[in-house]
Amino acid sequence: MEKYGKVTASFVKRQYFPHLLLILLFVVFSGGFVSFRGLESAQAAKVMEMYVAFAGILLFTPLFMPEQDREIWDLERSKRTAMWQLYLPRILLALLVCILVISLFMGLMVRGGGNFDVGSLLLGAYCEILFLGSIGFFASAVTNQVVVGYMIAVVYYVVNIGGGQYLGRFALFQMMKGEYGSWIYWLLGAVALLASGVVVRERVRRRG
Amino acid sequence: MFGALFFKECKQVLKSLVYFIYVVVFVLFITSQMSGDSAVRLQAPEPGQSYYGTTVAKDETLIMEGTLANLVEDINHNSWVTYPLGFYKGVTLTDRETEQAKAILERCTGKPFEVLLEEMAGHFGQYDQSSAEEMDAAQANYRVSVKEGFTYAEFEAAMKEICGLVGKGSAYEKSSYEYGIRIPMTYELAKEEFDALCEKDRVTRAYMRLFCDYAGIVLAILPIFVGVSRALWDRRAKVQQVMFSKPASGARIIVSRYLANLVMLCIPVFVTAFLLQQPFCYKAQTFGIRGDGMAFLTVPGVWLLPEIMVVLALSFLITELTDTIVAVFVQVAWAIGSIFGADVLVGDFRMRLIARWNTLGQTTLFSSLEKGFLQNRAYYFLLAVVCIILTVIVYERKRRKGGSLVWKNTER
Amino acid sequence: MEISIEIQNLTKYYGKKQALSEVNLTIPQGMFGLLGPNGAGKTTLMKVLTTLLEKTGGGVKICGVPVENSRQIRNMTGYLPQDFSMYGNMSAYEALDYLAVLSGMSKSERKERVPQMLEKVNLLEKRKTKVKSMSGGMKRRLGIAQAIIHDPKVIIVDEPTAGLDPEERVRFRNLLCEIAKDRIVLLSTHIVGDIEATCENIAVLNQGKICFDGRVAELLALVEGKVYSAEIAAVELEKVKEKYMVTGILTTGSTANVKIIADEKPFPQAKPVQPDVEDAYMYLMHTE
Repeated sequence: MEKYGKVTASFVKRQYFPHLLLILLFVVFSGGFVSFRGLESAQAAKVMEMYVAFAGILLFTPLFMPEQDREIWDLERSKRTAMWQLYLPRILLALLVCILVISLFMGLMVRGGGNFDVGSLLLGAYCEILFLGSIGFFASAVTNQVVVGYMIAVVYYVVNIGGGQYLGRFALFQMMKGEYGSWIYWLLGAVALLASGVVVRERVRRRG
Repeated sequence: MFGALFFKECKQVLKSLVYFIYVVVFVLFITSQMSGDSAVRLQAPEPGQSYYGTTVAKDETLIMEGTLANLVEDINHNSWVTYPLGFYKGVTLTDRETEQAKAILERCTGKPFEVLLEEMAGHFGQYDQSSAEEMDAAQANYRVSVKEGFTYAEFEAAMKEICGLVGKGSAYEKSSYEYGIRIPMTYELAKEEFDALCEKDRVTRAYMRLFCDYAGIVLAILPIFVGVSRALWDRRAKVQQVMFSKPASGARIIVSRYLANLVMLCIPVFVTAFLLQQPFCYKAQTFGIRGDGMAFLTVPGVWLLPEIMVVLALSFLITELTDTIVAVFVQVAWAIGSIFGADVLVGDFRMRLIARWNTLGQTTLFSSLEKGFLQNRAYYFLLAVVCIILTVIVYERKRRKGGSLVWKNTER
Repeated sequence: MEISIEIQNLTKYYGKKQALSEVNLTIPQGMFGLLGPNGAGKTTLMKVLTTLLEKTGGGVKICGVPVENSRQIRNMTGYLPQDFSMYGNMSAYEALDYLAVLSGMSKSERKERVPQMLEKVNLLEKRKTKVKSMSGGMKRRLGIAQAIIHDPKVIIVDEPTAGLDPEERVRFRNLLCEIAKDRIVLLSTHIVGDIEATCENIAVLNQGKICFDGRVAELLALVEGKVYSAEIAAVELEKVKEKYMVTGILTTGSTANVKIIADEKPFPQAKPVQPDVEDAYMYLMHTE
């Protein structure tokens, strides 16, 4: 257990820290972009789906940053610890921070005295934001280019602004329209993308 | 030497994954968005139609009536849209603030809020709310008349108070309502507009403006990634040292690289523009005029080129300066802010990065706004040039410092 | 014009840390070896010579041109950095052609020189191999090709043989010697064997200071009569190592054959032997 703690701490220190700092700025300056006072359910959903959603992209996309350097990746692969054991603590860390951020925003909105269903919005937000983040995660896992990860995730977000109808049950911004049933698809999508991201990444690498 | 470097850079762009994604996303986005605006729907107006679309009027009375109508709806829903930092922010008022807003409204109209609500319901009741066109017409026709003797100056003061309640960047800002009010067109106006579309815009130019409207959205975002990934590539491939030791000047290296990326980014834009324009060239013929065949070059050239230029140049500059992907966060925030920041989707250019024109036509309105629009585009063009000059300076500085300006160059 | 590098009182600081201190050196035509332990300041010195780093003080002239004239200097020098690499998606030919463009060569010049250079470094057959799938030796050879493609007067190579197998190393050294016929080849290394085999003139850099500058024979003269070989019992090895400077050990069973540097004969059974550059280098490092 201690081993994972150490490796993850090194990851945070060397690569992840600036991203966490950005998340902090994202939270601190949120008041300038969104309002937390007396929100109706559609408005509360909008805050989550259109603003807080970026936290998912920001947290899950850069998890493979150390391995962008092929030499580091090869070196790590030569060690006894399996790669997924290296990735898993990072994913859990990102997940933890993500849940904290979402819950914090929810707390702010509840304190602002809104009129919406906290439970279903929270569930939907967790799943949707995780799903969006896992898209960035998957893209950067497969291509080993963090920039591509961000690109795909941001493109997915933008496409949903006008073209959600093409994406079926995986479309974002559903809760804004009062549709709360998508969370299970988002959750399944996220789990599938997170798991297959790691698998595809290491498989491809093994073949050379 | 410059030409050779340019073509080699183009080849590099072609081989990059980010560029491939750019082309696919751009083409899919544009074709799916534009599919609703086919040439078939463009018709000359006939007398006796119930609705001819809308136009923008700048008459003071109309502005007051339209803005107050808007105010009635906003108070009623207690859902206020503002863009304080160019980014959408929904605002709701407390009960006390709502009462204050109602009082201001009553001062302007001389009628209590309840009466205004009844009038509103009466107005919308006249229309068939199931058709989009009728709904548009209902919205465009909705007016709330002011109290007798109520002056424009008084109106301005009242709106200032509303702004005090809802915060910055709402539709009640002077700069916002001054833009004008949407009014329904009569047959005469519609005919006039259509003639302008044919004569002044020769059909294709108007259509290309709509193309630019959609393309401008994605082009505020996608080139960021192309630029960041190219500028970071040197560091990732560990070629900086050897490049630095060559006689080629930083200006040559950066400018040829920039132009190569710019040209490659522009190719799919102009190609799709050319292809999408063809049905409208044909359509123009059926109206008995020759469409402007060069519109696919001239309109996006002015509209989109400065935007692509500045987005790409800024991503080069930030990335060379920091050697990180921070440009992605800064510029995506700017772009998304600009997308949500447009309070009207036609006109309202000001200094926005993304110039919206979500309509086919309104030629006369565009003519009246053209000067401001060109100023906006010239500004971004110059900004891009400045960014590239700065990038060259940064590059030369890195060269003399032995590598990155932010990372430690501890290697000895 | 005379081909030479003149370095006077060269000083370089990284912040408060001194990397080079009052370096004085004249490098004539031919192969010149720069020897020193890791972190001695070899790469810093080479980067100053190739205009990749600004010096803090002193003066450097290459063939009479001060390094401040970076454009001119870059035209005259070819540089192979320690960790040379190119864009992975380029083939050997494309990579060399790209760097030739950066060296300001015209299309016709490149058409002629690029295949020539590839042939010279034995990569012509592999011209279509992508950089990302090249071995360390191939990359290094591509590196030397790009350093000489514009026919510079001065070639500066940083640790060129690190990571090469013995055969590749010998071939690479021979290549450098061949190139050095009418130019300066400045070669830095911490591998003594490279210098011994190729360079007539050498300088030893330690902690940012030049501690030797001269011919190989002069370096050897420093330890003439101070190198001994002796057969001792393996159990005594630790004791001997503590007391003397040991530059070589060959253990066979219970006895060990050691090579020792000492001012006087260390023990009776020790026999004086012919010193090599490695002995001299060790002596220099440990008497400083």
